[in-house]
Amino acid sequence: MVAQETKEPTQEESEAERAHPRGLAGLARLGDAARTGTWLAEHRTTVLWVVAGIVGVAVLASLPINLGRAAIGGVSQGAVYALVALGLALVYTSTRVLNFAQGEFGSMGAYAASALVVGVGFERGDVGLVSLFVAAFVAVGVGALIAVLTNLLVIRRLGSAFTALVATAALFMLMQTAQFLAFGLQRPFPRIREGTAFAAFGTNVLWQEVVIVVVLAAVAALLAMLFRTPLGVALLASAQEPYAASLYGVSPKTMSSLAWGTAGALAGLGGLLAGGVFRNIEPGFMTTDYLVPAFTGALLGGITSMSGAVVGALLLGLVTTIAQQLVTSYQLDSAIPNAPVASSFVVLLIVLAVRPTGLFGKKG
Amino acid sequence: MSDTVAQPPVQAPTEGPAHGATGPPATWRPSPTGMIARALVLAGLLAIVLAAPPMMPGVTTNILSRVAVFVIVALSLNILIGYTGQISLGHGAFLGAGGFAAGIAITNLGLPWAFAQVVAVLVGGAFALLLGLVALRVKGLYLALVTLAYGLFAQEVLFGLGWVSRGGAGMPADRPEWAMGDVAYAYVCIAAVALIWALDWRLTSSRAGRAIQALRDSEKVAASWGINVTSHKLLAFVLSGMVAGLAGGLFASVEQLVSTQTFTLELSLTFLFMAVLGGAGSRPGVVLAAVLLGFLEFFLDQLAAAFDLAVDGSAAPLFSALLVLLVLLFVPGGLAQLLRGVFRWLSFQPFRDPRGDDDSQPAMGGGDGGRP
Repeated sequence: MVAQETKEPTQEESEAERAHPRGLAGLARLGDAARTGTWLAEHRTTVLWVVAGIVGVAVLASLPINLGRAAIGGVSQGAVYALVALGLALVYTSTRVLNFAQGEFGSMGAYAASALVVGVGFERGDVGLVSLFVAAFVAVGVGALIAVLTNLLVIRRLGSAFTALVATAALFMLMQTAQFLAFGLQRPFPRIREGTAFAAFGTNVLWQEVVIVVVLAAVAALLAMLFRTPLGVALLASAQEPYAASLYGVSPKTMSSLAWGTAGALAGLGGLLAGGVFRNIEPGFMTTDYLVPAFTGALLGGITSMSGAVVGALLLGLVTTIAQQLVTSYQLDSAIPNAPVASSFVVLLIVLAVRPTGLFGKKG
Repeated sequence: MSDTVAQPPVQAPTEGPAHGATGPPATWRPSPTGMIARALVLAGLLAIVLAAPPMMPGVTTNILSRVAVFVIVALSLNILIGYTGQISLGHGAFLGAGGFAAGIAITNLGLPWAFAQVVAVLVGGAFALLLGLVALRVKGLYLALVTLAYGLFAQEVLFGLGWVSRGGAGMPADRPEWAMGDVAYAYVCIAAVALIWALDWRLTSSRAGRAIQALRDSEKVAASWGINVTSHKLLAFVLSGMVAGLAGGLFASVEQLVSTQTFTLELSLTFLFMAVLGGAGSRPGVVLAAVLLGFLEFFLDQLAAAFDLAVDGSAAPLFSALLVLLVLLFVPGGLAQLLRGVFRWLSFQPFRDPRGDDDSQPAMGGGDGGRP
């Protein structure tokens, strides 16, 4: 009798699981409601999102901030977060390493570009097309090279995820100090194009912001295409199930190097774009300014999902920009000294408390 | 060093009668000469430490005090990394919390110095309690991420508050009247190291300490032995935070000014490197590594001045990071693994491990296999 009682719910559960592949008990109950009929029950999640969106926009519109400025600043800020976050997610899914040196791949790329492409107008701020392409090639190449070397020489030889984390932290320190010793405290860095592109939504949109967003869109499109080629599929398969993938002739070692290399290239691109935001670069600037928000953004979207990492990073860019505008307009600067850092920490805590797998992440 | 196969550690000549392969009995004691040799070496080490403060040239006595503070922080981080297997990338936050708390207690509230240290300990513990409550929810690498963000949050937001950092000028923190001089204060810091060493030693041999260490190897096994995982994890966090808070309180009065720019990510990582380089879980290893890394900048500066080198103390993080990488790749147990025989000999044990588990490595990380 007792055995039957305990057995029945499991049967029901598995039935519900078959009907609803995600298998969550709550969703199953939602599904039951849908079977009984109402349209509202069937589209409950969508309706909730739409309502939340409307309320959110209404709240935002009532705040004393420049919405257009917040949107454009937030998206361009979030786009750089996203480039770093994409690399973090790639490396994490393929090698289960939280890569502390991810930002520094970008700083090294930016420094290499700034050191090598001097004399063709790169340091003066009027970047010609040729020097721009050379600089981009150098930044991306150096970032990718350092990342692949990191994987081959260090990560592959280490056992646990903890030692790998400490090793990447040591690499961060190494690269940051090397930058300081070689280039000093600050170095000017050009924007790809100075000035305002156009005025819209009650604000001036800078060329720099346009370029950043266009680059992110291009990268996202490229990656989306990559993951549909055989190579990309092999990469994802190897990340998911290295042993099974190797049975299909995919070398996990090659794939992990490919993932690290891609991550390094993305960071290099991010460094090139971020360097122009303040028009100068400092040792370790990609880590101090972008790594923690990128981690938080990746976690917000779900660090096991590439698209999740991009969406999370963009959302976080919006949140930090809006937080900064709010603090400024309410004159709370002395109460909340660094609003972007504070708001991104709060977001991190909320994500971990409510949904540690992120918005789009899977368990694992 | 020859480049042939590594030699097994040579039996110390002062060892007394050689023991067989079965190992000595449980109540092994060194021979009288062995006793004397060990006591002499320990006394020599103690004499070096005690003689150091007046011997340091001029203003550099404060460097000694600072290294002593770093040793305390490294020991506090060792409670987390070495004993519970939890990682912290934001230990500078606890140091800063203790430092600013002591500064506020001394300068704003006019409390006596010793009382300010108590405040620093309590504030450090409270900070750690908050982080520990989060740490109970997340595991492994996610915790590392939270501590990283926590450290950044503390540095940029909390320590940037106007009433904490006095509008960026820094919070003054006077020394006690009975230790105004640099040398006297260095002795205070060294005494604090001794106190924390003794407390840490008691912790590892207490019931709670053993329970905490059981968490490192496996939370599930520990729970099945009746250990309350939640409370012991929190306990480890709070103890670590309190010790780091004390370090912060001492640190505040070294320069007699606590400034926001001190408690950076780089500082937190340096503490992590100290624990890893020393060999997480090994008290003498961690202390030795903290002393080495703490003096590295000073040492490089002296070298550069003496030999007119281009590389000075500002390259110190580069060397410490390189050291850590080499240790991780080739000697995962750190100094504790390299100097295992020496440490054992100094603690009145035989140079070789009687149980012959020389290949075991101190646990690093652990818990749940590192996956969040």
